[in-house]
Amino acid sequence: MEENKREQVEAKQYIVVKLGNEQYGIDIQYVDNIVRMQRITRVPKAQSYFNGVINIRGEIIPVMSLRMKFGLEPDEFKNATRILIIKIEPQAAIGMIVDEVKEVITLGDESIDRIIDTNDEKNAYLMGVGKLTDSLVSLLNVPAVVVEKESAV
Amino acid sequence: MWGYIKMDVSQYLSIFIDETREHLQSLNEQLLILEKEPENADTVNEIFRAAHSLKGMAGTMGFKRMQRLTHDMENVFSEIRNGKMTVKSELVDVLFRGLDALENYLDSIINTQDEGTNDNQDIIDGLQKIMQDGLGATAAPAPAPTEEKPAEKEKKTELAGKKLKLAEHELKAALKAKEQKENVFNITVYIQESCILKAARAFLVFKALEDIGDIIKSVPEVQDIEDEKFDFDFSIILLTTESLEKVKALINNVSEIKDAVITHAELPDVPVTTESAPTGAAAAATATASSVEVQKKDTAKATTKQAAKPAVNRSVRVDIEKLDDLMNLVSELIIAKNGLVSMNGAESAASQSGGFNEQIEYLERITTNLHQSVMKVRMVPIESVVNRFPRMIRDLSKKLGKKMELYMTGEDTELDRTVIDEIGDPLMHLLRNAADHGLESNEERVRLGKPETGSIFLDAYQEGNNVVIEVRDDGSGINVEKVKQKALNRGTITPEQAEVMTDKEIIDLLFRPSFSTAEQISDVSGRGVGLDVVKTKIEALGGSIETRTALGEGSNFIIRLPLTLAIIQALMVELGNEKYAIPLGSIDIIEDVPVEEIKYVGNKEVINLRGTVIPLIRLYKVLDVESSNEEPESLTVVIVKKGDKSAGLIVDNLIGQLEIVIKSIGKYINNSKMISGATILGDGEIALILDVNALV
Repeated sequence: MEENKREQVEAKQYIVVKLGNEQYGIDIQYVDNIVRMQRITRVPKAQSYFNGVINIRGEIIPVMSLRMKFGLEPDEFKNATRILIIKIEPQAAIGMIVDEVKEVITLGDESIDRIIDTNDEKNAYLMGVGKLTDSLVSLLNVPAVVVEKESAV
Repeated sequence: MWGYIKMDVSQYLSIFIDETREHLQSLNEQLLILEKEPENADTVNEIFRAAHSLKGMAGTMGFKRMQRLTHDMENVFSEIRNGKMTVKSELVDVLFRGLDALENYLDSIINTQDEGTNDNQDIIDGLQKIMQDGLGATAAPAPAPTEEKPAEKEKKTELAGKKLKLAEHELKAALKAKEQKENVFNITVYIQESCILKAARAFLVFKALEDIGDIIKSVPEVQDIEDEKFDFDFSIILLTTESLEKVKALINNVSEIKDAVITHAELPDVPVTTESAPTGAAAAATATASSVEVQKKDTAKATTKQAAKPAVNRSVRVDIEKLDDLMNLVSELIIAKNGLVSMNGAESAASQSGGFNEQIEYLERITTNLHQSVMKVRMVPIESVVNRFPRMIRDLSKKLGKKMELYMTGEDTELDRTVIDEIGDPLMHLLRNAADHGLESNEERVRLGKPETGSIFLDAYQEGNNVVIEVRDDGSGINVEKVKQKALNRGTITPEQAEVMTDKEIIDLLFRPSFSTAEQISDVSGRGVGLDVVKTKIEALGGSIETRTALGEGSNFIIRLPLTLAIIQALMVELGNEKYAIPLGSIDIIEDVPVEEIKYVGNKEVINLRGTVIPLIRLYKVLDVESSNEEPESLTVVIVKKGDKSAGLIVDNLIGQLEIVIKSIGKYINNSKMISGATILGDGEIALILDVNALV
C-alpha cells in the first residue's frame, strides 16, 4: 500500500500537445486554461515569436507561438489549433499556440530521461523526455520557455 | 492527530502598524515644533502621550526592543515635562535618531512580522547619557521595563497548578513525546489582575512556548482565550525538549504575568514494551503519525511564512459618505438593468427603440457617476506623502550647514492611491536637489542681498484633469551656460548642436541619465542618478515634468500628474485594419491636410499649420502596419502635444471618442515604449493604446 502511495506522489500529469510531427508534454500545474484559436491583436515591435495579445474574459494575455520560439515553420491555423493559457505566477499569464492538444498523461519519475546536454539551444527549453509505451514526449521546461533570456535580446 | 494550537496575531498587527505610524508621524511633527519652541508645554505633553502609547502598544505586541527604546525616550520626555531638564539641540538629534530606529523596527515588522535584532544600544546610551547630564549624576539609569515585576511574585506559593485531563489522542501524543525523551509539562499561567489585555498576554505566552515546543492542549480552548473568555489563569500541556527552568523563564519574560506553575504531567504508566513492540498495525500507526507530524509542522511553517507576506495590505480609509454614494449608484444600476430586462419582454417594437435609447442614456449616466465615485474612493490627500518632508529638510539643513525653511501648500490635494505611493521618491529627490544645489550657502546669500535663510516651496493644486506639484526654491537657479559647458565636455552634445539649442533644450539635458552639475559629489545629492530617475518615474505615472529657472532667482520644477490612471478618454483611430487608442489628454487638434501641403525640412515631412511647423509621423511606418492602399488626396492628421513640442500623427481613419479602461499587456511581451497598454472594446476586440510621449 505504501509503495503505491509513493508512486502517486512522484508521478506528474502532463498535457500532450503536437507541434508538427513532434509531441511535447507540458506540466499540468502550469496550465490554467485551453482555448480555441481566436483573433489576436498584433503588438508592434514585439519579439518575433509573439503573435500579439488576446482577450480572455477581460484579461489581456500575450500569446507566443511555440513553433516560432523553437524555430519551426510558421503556424498554420487549423481547426485543431489551440492556445494554452499558462500561469507561472498568479498575475502573469501567457498564451502558447500549439497545433493540437492530444491528451493528458501521467508520468512517473522512472519513465523520464533527464537531458544533460544543454548545448543545443532547443534543449534549453526541455527538461527531459518522457517514455510512453509506443512513443516519446519531450517535456517542456515551461519557465525557461516563457522567460526571455537576457542575452537573447 | 492533534492540531497545533496557534493564536492569531494578524488581527492586532494591522491595527498596531497603523497606529504606530500615526504616533511616529505625530512625534516627528511635534519634535520639529519642540526644536523651535523648547518651552512649549503642550508639545511636550503631546510627545509624552504619543511616546507612552507607543511603548504600551509595542509591549503588548511583544516587540521588546521597540518597547525598550520608546521606554527610554519616554523617560526623557517625562523629565522634560516635570521641568527637570531642558530641550537641547543634541537631545532633539538623538530623539530623531530614535524615531528613525523605531521606523526601522516598524518596517521590519511590516515585512517579516518581527522587529529584527538591532538593539540600537547607541541611541539608548545616548538618551541615558543626556538624562544623566541633564539631571546631574544623581539620576539612576532608566530601569528596563521588564524589571518592574519582582514585587508581584510574592503570592507565588498560593498558586497551584491545575491538573488537566487528557483526551485519548492527546494522551497518545504525550506518551509518544515522552518516549522520545521530550518533557511533558502541565503549565498553569496566572495573569495579573490589573492586566487589561489578557488575551494579548496569553498570546505572547503561547507564542513564546510554540517556539520551543508543541502545545497539545489548552484549557480553556484557544478560541476562548483569544476572545478573552477566561479569568486570570489558563492551563496548557506543552511538549518540549527544553528544561522546566527554561520554560518558566520564558513565561515570566512576558510582562504582566503573575506567575506560572509548571509540573511534569503525570502520565499513566504504560509498559514500554507495548509501545515499542513492532507489532504490525501499532508500529505502522506510529510511523505514519510521526511522518504526518513532520508534514504538518512543515505546512504550519509554510502557512505562517505565507501569512507574513501580506501582513499589511495596502488600504485606503474611506469616508462612509462615499460608500453610501457607491451603494446608491449600484442600486440605480440594478434598476437600469431591470428596465432593460422588462423591455426585452415588451412587445411593441416602435416604443421599444425609443425606450431603449433612453435606457442606454440612463445607464451611461450611472456608469459615469459610478466611475467618478470609485475614483473618489481611491483618492488620497497628498498630505500622507509630504508630511515627512519638513523633517527631511530639517535634517538636510543640519547636514549641509545651510539655513532653510520648507513652505508647503495644498497638502489636501487628492491623488490616486497608486500615484501617491510612487510620487514620494521623485519629490524627495527634487527637494534634496533644491536644498543641495539650488540654495546657495548662507554667506553667499547674504552677499547677494537675499535673506540668509533659504526658502523651498512645495505647492500642490488641481488644474483641470491634472494635479500639479511644484517644487520651487529661491536659490541660484540653473546656470544654463554651465550645463551647456558640461554637456560639451562630456560629449553629450556637439558644439554645433550647442549653438542652436534653446535654453529649454539645454535644461532638458539635466534629465538625461548620469548628468549632474554638482561640482562636488555630496552624500545628499549629485551622484548623477537624480533627475533622470525622477523623470522616468513621473512619466511612468503618465505625468510630465517641466523646469523653469531664472539665474539668481531660483528654479521651479513643475510636475503634472493625471488625476486618474485606470480609465481615460481616448480617440479611437484606424490604421490599416488595426485599431489604436490615443489618449484625449494629449491631443491638440485634428486636421485634414491635403497631400500637397506637406513640405520637407531636412528629409523630414512637416506641415505648416497656422504659422507653426509641425513634424509629421506616419504611424503605419512606425508601427509596421501593412498600409492598405496608395496615398489619398488628403491626410487625416492628429496633432498631439507633449509639453510644448507637438507632432502630427497620420492615421487612416477616425473612429470616435471612447472612454477606455487601461490594461497592462503583461511583462513577457517586449513592450516598445510606444504602446502604453491595451484596452478591450465593446465587441471584445483589443485595441492598443499609443503613448504619445514616446512618439513625439
